[in-house]
Amino acid sequence: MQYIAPEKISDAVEALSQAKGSVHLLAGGSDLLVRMKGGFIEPDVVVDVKRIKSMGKIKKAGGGFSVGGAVSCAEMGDNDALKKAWPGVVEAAQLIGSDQIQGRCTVVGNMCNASPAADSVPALIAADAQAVIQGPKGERRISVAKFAKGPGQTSLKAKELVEAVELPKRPAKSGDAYLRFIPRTEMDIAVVSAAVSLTLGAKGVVREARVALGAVAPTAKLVPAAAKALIGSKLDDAALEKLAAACAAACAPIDDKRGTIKFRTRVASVLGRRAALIAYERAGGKL
Amino acid sequence: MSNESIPARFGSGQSVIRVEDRKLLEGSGSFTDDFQPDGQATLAFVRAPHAHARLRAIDTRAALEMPGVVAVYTGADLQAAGVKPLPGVADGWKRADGSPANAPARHPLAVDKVYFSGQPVCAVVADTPAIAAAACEAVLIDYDTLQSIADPVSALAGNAVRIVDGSSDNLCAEMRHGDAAAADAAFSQAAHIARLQLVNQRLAPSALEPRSVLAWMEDDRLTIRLSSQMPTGVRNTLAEPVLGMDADKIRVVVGDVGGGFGMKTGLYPEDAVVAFAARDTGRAVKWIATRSEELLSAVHGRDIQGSAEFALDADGRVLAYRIKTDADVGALVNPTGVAIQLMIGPWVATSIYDIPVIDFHYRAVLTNKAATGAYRGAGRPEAIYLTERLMDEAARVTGIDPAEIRRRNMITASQMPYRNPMAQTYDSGDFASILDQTLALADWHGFEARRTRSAGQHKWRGRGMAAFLEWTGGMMFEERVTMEVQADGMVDVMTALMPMGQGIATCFAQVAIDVLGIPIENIRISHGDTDRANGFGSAGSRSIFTGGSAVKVAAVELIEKSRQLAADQLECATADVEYGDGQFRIAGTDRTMGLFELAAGQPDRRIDIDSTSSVDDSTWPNGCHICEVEIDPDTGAVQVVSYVNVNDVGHVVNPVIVVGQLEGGAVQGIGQALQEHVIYDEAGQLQTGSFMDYTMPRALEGCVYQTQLDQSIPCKNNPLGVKGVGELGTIGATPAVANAVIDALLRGGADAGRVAQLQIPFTADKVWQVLRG
Ligand SMILES: Cc1cc2nc3c(=O)[nH]c(=O)nc-3n(C[C@H](O)[C@H](O)[C@H](O)COP(=O)(O)OP(=O)(O)OC[C@H]3O[C@@H](n4cnc5c(N)ncnc54)[C@H](O)[C@@H]3O)c2cc1C
Repeated sequence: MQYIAPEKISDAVEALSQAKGSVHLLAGGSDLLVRMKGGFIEPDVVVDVKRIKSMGKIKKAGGGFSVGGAVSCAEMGDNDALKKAWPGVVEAAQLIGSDQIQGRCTVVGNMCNASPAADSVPALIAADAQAVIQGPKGERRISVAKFAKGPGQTSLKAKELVEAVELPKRPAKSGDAYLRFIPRTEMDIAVVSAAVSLTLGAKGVVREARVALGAVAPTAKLVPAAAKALIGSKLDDAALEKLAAACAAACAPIDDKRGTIKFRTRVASVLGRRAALIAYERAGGKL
Repeated sequence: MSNESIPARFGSGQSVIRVEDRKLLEGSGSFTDDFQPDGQATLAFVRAPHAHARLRAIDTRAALEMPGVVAVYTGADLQAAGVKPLPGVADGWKRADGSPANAPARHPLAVDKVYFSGQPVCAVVADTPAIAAAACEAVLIDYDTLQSIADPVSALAGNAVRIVDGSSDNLCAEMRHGDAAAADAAFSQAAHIARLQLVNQRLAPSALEPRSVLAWMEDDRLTIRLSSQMPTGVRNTLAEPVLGMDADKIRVVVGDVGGGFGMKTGLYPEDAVVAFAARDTGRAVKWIATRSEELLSAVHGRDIQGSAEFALDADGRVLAYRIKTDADVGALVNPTGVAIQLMIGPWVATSIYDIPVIDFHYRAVLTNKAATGAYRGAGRPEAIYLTERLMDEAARVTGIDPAEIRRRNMITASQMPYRNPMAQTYDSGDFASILDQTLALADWHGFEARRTRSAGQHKWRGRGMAAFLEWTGGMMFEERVTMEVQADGMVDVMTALMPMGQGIATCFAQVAIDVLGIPIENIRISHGDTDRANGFGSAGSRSIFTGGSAVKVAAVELIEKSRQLAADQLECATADVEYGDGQFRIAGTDRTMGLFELAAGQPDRRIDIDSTSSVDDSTWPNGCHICEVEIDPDTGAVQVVSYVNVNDVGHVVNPVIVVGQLEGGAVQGIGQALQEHVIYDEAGQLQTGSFMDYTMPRALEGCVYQTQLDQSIPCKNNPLGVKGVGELGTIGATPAVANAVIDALLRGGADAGRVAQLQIPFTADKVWQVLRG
């Protein structure tokens, strides 16, 4: 196995282009190394992105933020400006694993691993985040909502890598929130999760909304009907009922020992509702 | 320096800092895998992928040809070399018709058939772990799969495939206790009947350190270093019964043990294979189980289901207790697993209650799963779960408060010693007093206000109680202790008790200090070497009660012997020699001689004693545990919000250690009540093969505990007055939490019929289904 640790994006793209056999990118390694040790993959080439300086930073970009693919979730938690603008994204990132994992794991790795239960992804989708992709044909952007194609499958083409995720400029009176349900109080994989991002207009009326669910379908998904239920409301009971119904309708979960279809569906609407209430409060709304 | 005497500072009753911890915290513990002898080879197992299948052919040629492979063994190879099956269940247990218990032979490696998925079929010995793993892949095995038995109900169906070829059914063993006719009469006259159908799910004991075995030959002697609670048992079973060797040709050594919880009692098939491989190859051979191997093939705990019924009079007094249960003991039955369900559980089933008539019927049933065996509590959690769930049901049926109905049925202090219907004699106990103390500490009568507060936060609150006792001792009361006073200022104490993390060395040192009066740094406790001490080992909460008592007796004998030696040195009568704080003194004079000085003056510069003593009988630790939970009715998630417990474990040698045992034990019991569950699918495949799916509790699943110890009721069966504490917390927690969840659901308005169907673990998903239907 060959291990390459380039220092520039262009070198990384070059290394990906040259590499033969099975090639894997390495960020924090908290998914990749687990899969290697478990014998599920046997890479011929590993390209480590952690030495690429431009990927190791959280930058202000276009009024929003750009979180590099080598930024650990712990670093996100230490960034006050990011936390203030996107508390839901940061709380999702900080739910991943434990302190030890936090020091290694990245939201880009979380997204590229493409688990339907990945914690940061619903929050990124609700935030309308964009993935910045670099490849032999240069740079392209794709909405995080469209990034995953199925469990373990992404829309990355061969020889491409994700440089960063970009979070858009935040209007005043905005708030987001992420909640997950796990069988234990910590360190487990989401059985269901929900993220809500809101922007309020005059008098606390919701002007914009995005709602995303995790672990209820092959990929985390945006639920436009749920967002629609909230827009124009002050999160009155009727709006929340509609939101809950839309969340339940969007679910196509699996049935396993961790949670039945019925349970996941029902809890998706409970979490959607609770996340909406938290996001509303964070946006300055009063119930 | 304090003026207090040494025993007052370090002796029993004090929360002395554990002598074990420094080494462990510094990372200098000596676990089996810390030993890496030169030339060590790795052993790895090829395990059965099927739950039930015939072995048609095994082809080991490709594996044997791989460079670095030392040996590959099949069950037939071991058989040909004279290796015999591990002792089975047929010796001690019977079926209803009196015939011997029925189970397949426990070959160390499968012969002819495999009986559960994960059963060891072949073993590969290789120079490195990587080569061993690759060689396992190269072993080709041809199976003829058979229908597999997934649970006791299908096992007992008339047309079920037979696990033991040619047998009439899949029943392993069966036992009845009590008087069925008297019980029938009581039930026919009862004013009320409380009845429950309960499942006590299968659990994985999950010690932090997995099973680890290292074996090597020195001349014609085999040494085995392993992680075990019972070194002598391992040696004796391995010797004549399995390998056909004399016991004195085998030495079992145990260093630090990273948890046992009962699953490291006795010999495993894998241990025998490692020992055989070392003898056969002449290499040092090591096997360290992976976590998956532990979940697949170490013994599991619990797994018993059935019905329990009380016949009650109009005042809520229990007239008769009927139990009928089936235990799923797996296929390659571990005799301990059967003893736990058919005998040990029944001993405590009437618990702290004065129940005149019993009718108990227990069956052990074969299935294509891993064997069950000892797991923290071993039989008592099963029995107490039934009894305490049923007490709450009786409270509902009669309309009597749960604390009050328990009180009405309790054995009183004046009834001690009390003989229960299983002919077990309780020496001491004041159960009503423990109940009252717990009710006060838990503010039992202030519950309604707390419930209202929870309701305001959209949470359903409930409370549950378990008032209970348990049995300890393992029915092995004799222990041998050797003690040596060395001229260099150390007292060496050697016992056959085997710590697995509970702080036994600290407690034994404290007991010795009570008599010897020397600082704790001057005492060295050792264990875990069958060349130096043999005995039953540590299980069933027995170590302090049998072993601690034996340490005390040995210390007294040591001082007795030393007084005579001191009298010779001081040239006075033995009767005039006093002893205290490490000094002999001629009474009424200032002529003294130190203990170590005396040792230095002996011909071999030491004073030793070899003491064997016995306690009188089992002990009966008891307690009352009250738990409150909150349920989130939208998700079904249960949170334990308070856990209050008062315990009578007799005299307490080290309060911090005892409270740690109780609270750590409670977390394990909470794990069973709320989340842990070993699940097999219909085809007998384990679905919970890693900690991702086998949900161990974490610190946050617990809460803040309030734990009290009542030391006013010492045990009468041993010189220390101790009762043992290793399992009490676990036994109480499961029913206390389960009762609280049931209470919360019923108070919240959940459908009583659906609540009655609910079985532990009370996961959010299951609780939610009860709420939604
Ligand atoms: C103990 C433990 C607990 C965990 N708990 C959680 C949890 O609670 N919630 C959760 O969602 N996950 C959890 N995980 C999974 C994992 O930690 C997360 O998915 C994490 O975000 C992955 O980030 P990473 O940087 O470590 O990724 P890596 O392991 O480095 O990479 C993950 C995948 O993404 C690819 N990749 C990495 N970087 C790039 C890039 N720049 N461009 C393209 N592809 C890339 C890799 O090739 C690999 O396929 C846990 C893992 C462990 C070991």
